[in-house]
Amino acid sequence: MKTPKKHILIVEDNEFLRKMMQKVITVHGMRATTAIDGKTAIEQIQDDPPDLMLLDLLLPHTDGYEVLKHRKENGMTFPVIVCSNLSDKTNRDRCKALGAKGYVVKSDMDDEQLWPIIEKHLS
Amino acid sequence: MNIRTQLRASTFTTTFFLVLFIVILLIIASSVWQATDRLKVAEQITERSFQLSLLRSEYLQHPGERAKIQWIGQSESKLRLIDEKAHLFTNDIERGLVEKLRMAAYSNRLMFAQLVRSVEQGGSDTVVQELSNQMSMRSQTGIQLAVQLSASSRQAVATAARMLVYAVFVIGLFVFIISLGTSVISRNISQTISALAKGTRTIAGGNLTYRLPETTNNELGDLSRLFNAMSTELQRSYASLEERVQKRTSELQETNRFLDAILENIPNMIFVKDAGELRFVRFNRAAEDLLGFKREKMIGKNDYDFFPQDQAVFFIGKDRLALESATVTDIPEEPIDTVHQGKRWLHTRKISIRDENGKPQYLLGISEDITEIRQKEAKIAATLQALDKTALVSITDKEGIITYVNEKFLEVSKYPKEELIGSNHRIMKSGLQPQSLFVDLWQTISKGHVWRGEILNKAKDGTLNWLDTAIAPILSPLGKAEHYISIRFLITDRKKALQDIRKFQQAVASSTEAVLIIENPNDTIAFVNPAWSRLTGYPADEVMGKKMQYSQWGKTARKIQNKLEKAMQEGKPFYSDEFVLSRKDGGDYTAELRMYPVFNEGSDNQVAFYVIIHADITARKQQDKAKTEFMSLASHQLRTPLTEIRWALSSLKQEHLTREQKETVSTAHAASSHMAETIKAMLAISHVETGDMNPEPADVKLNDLITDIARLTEAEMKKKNITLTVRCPPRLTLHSDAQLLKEIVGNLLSNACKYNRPGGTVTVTATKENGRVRIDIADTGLGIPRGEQDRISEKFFRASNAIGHNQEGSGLGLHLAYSLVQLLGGTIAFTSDGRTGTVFTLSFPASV
Repeated sequence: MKTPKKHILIVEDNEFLRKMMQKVITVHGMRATTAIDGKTAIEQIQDDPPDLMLLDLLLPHTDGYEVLKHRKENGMTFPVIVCSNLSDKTNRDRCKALGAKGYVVKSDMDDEQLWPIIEKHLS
Repeated sequence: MNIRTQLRASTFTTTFFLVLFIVILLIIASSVWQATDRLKVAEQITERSFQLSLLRSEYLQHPGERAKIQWIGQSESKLRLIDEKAHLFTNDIERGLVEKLRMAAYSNRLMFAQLVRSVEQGGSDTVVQELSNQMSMRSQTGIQLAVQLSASSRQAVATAARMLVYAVFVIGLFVFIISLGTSVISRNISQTISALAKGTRTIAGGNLTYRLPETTNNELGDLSRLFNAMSTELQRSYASLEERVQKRTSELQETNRFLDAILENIPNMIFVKDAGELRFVRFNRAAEDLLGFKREKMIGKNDYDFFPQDQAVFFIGKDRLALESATVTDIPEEPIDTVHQGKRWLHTRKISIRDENGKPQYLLGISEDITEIRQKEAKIAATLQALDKTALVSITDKEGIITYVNEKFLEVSKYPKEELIGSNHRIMKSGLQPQSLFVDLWQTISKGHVWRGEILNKAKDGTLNWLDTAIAPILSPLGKAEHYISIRFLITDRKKALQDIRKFQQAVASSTEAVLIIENPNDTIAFVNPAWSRLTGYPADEVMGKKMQYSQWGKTARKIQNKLEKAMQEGKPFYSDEFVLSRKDGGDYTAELRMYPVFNEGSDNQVAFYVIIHADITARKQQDKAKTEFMSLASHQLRTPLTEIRWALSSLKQEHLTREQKETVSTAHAASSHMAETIKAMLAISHVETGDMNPEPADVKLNDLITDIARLTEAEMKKKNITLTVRCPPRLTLHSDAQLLKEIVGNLLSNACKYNRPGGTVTVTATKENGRVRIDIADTGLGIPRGEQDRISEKFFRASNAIGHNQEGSGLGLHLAYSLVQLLGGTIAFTSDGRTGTVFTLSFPASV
């Protein structure tokens, strides 16, 4: 029996980056869903909880922190990797405190470098 | 009637009557004797009368001459007897009888003559007869008379004898009465004496209230009265004696209490032991305080009950010696274990207390606690010894002639002892100091004061020695200086050092950075430069010599203050650019502060003083902050489009492009990656520099960390065919900030790959040694040219061979790595022969 595909939720407002990420994931045979803002993301994790979430911080309407808070408050345990271009310690620490398992700076890597990180957190 | 009178009367009466009785007796005896005499005479007369009568008859019968003569002779004898003895008869009757006898005798003689004549003349018978008859009659009468006389005498004798008997009886009676009287008197006397004896015994027995009955009015009565008076007096005097004794006793008790109080309050330990078994019998408060034992516990016990065996043996031994000795036994030092004060040292004197026969009764001990004195003495001795080793000591007479020098003096002056002794001190003068100095010196010491100053002396070999000198006069009892003692310390080096320091001070004084020197350990401000006063607002004279006010630093973050305090305690240098200092006017400023400990000469851990240099960097800090904010914002704004470019190019690289197109896209992609790295490094450096980078140490699994980093460089390595080898014990952990460590190791690993030759190797080795974790990152690349090795950590510096290597680089990576290593309290170093590779070595403390 075939194991069900892992489900990864991508929360990213930049359409190009969202698509790039989606591509990296689907290439590796996983199911990727997307959300363009925090509000949609919250709805989606409620309806269809992923196995992992890639989360941007600066999002329209509801930012990434709200999503993290919601996840934490609702006792959800899927891992979250924050993908942001903010690199200062304050933001890193805040995410960590809200339960994010990883933190990557998007500009510091290529799209393909994203995969090893996803792989690590899924295992 | 008194006894004396009684006795006198008795004696007198006895004597009187005795004499009287003797006289009477004599009289009676005499009358008896006389009566007897008379009786004898009367009987003789009677007898002769009979014989005359017989002779006459004979004559008548036989007249003859012879008869006649016999008769006449007899008659004559009779008459003579009467005549001679007539005076014996005194009473009238007898005298009458004697007279009659005499008359009869005479008449008889006459008649006998007549008879004779008648016979011889032949007278008639009748006449003769008649005559004879008459004569016979007369003779008869005469005999009768004589018999009467005898009877009378006999009666007188009987009377006298009777008288004698009476007299003897009377005397006997008298003697009886006298002895009866005497016995009565003597009985009275003996009774009184017995009563007296009894009274005396009773009083002697303590009953002073006993009195004799005063019955009679004589001397015995007097004696009893006197005795009673005496008893009363005795009782009174006894009562007074008792009162006196009581008073004396109370005085004695008072004296005892006083002596006890003295004994109790004497600060020295006082104890008394019995001479026999040396048990404590007395013990004062000082002794209790010293030994920590209450007297109730001590009394009745001996040293063995309280002190260690060796001490007790010593004490008891000295006790015995003291008991035998007639003088005070002095024990200058003896150790004793006490309850609360540990081991103490005592100076003890022990004295034997003897009875009147000189036999020891008690042992008195007086001990003084000399522990502190002893310590002081030891200190003084040590000081003197130290002084003798470090100081030049000399003694001169009042003329300055040397009489004593110590070894140190000889060592410094280089003179032989023989040459110095007897010489004047001035032979060592250098001649380089003004004469006025010596005038002052002599004036001072000759007045009996101590002179203190610095003297430049010349040794025998010409060496000039600066000597810190103190010269003190040794005064005679009259207060005159007789000798001078000088103590000198060689300060040539110090003088030189001072000169150096002065130069240094001048340099510091002109510095624009604030310099503060704090003395250790008293924390006083030894020096501040004008820049310090300008910055802080405190004039130098206001703070010099005062205690350092660390409150000036009070607005600095506590964590940073603690780090500085720790560094000061450990004698390590310290740097911070986050110090906040307060000015005198209350304003604050941020300072960059460096602290350097300066150690005592010859020591590497005794800090002599701390040099603290600081500069006001408030303006710079503000700029830094603005810069950081700008950088943070700018970097985000730059990164967002950069990510799109980078990812787009990275994605494009995967497409089927012509070789030319592929090269172009690759170049653009590399440029975008480099740009991202530059932004990242600049941000990190900016954070380090502004102090926003605060490490958060945790236990980091080094193997995992290195593997993570290696994963990121994997693609790059593969491209250049570089072999990466990681040697790390799987369980090796390091207490540090994981993110920053990643940054450091990632940078070094990236460089090791970037500047390596194709087909080269990179080896990462992690080990733990001596409480530190060491990470070596070795490559087989270009190496760092020798001439540039010192500058490798500078910001934006790139080695010349790296620039020509056609590799993108900002000159920020190593600078960042160096900054971060320092931030994590580690060290970073490298070895490179300049041609064939570089080994970077990181070292961190394994735990906090």
